[in-house]
Amino acid sequence: MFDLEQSIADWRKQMLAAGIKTPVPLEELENHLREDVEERMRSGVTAQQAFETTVRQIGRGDMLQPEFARAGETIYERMKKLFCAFAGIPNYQLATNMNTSNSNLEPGWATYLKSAALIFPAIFVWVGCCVWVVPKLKEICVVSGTRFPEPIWTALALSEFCKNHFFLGAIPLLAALILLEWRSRRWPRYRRLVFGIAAFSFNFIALVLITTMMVFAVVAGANLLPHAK
Amino acid sequence: MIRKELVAASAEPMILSLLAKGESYGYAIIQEVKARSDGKLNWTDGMLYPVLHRMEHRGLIKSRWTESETGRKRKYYSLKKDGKTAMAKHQEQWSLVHSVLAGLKKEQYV
Repeated sequence: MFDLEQSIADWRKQMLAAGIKTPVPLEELENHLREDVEERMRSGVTAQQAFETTVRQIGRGDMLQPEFARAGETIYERMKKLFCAFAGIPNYQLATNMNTSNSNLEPGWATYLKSAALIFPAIFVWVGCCVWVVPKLKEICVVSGTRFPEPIWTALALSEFCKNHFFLGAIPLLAALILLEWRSRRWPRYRRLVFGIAAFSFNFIALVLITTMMVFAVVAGANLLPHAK
Repeated sequence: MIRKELVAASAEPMILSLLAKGESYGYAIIQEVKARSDGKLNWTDGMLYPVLHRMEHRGLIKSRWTESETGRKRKYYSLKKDGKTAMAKHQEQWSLVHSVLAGLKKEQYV
């Protein structure tokens, strides 16, 4: 004999086993199931037939679970969002089986403005470091007899090179961008990704170098202490 | 039957337009879509809820739990301001697609 309540309880267990563990989606799905079963039974179908048809129509738990996971704010989703925001991709689109409608392309001016806003603090801090921190660090190195760290030398040489040959680098880059904006149909699709990765890499490198400098200043400074001598 | 890709693409504008008429809940939304399309727009029922949740996270719609006259709890969804804007955008785009197709079809029979 078919027991509707038992079947619903079993279905609930299957959904839980498939990973739909948060109460809200499960409750909503169960309400849907009950309402649909009742509606079908009113039209003369047996409870068992109604239940089986509705369960089929709702879909399998393992198929629904990833969709709910994408829709909800799980820790993984938050991390992904945060990472994308750092990379200059604030509203990345989540594709679901039910919805592929919105375009994920943002207008060019927004990408350029965001990239500039993201890169500017890193440039500002790096220039500040070159002007105030590096001379002091060099002084500490000379007095304490410590070798100036190699990666910082390379970065300084590179930023010096960029400063001296600014137009040599900027003009071809600008020309390439104008050309891409003007001629390439595929560029808008990759623009945000390219700028996002570039801004992220630049910020990351600047942050690592500044941290290294600070750590090195503390280590080299320790050699100046009387007991170290 | 309507192609899966088209069903997927039309889900959000359809939900937004339905909710523009007034608040509704999952089961009623599905039933109305089925009725209006003569059963040709066949969603996998369960898939509606992740879409509703995602739209809620994006700030297009809001929800509230309420009890029906039969005592059953229902989660009602309604449109937010951003949802109205998104709906207008969707309708504009779909109208454009429709007018282009209708124009091309008309030319075929001239």
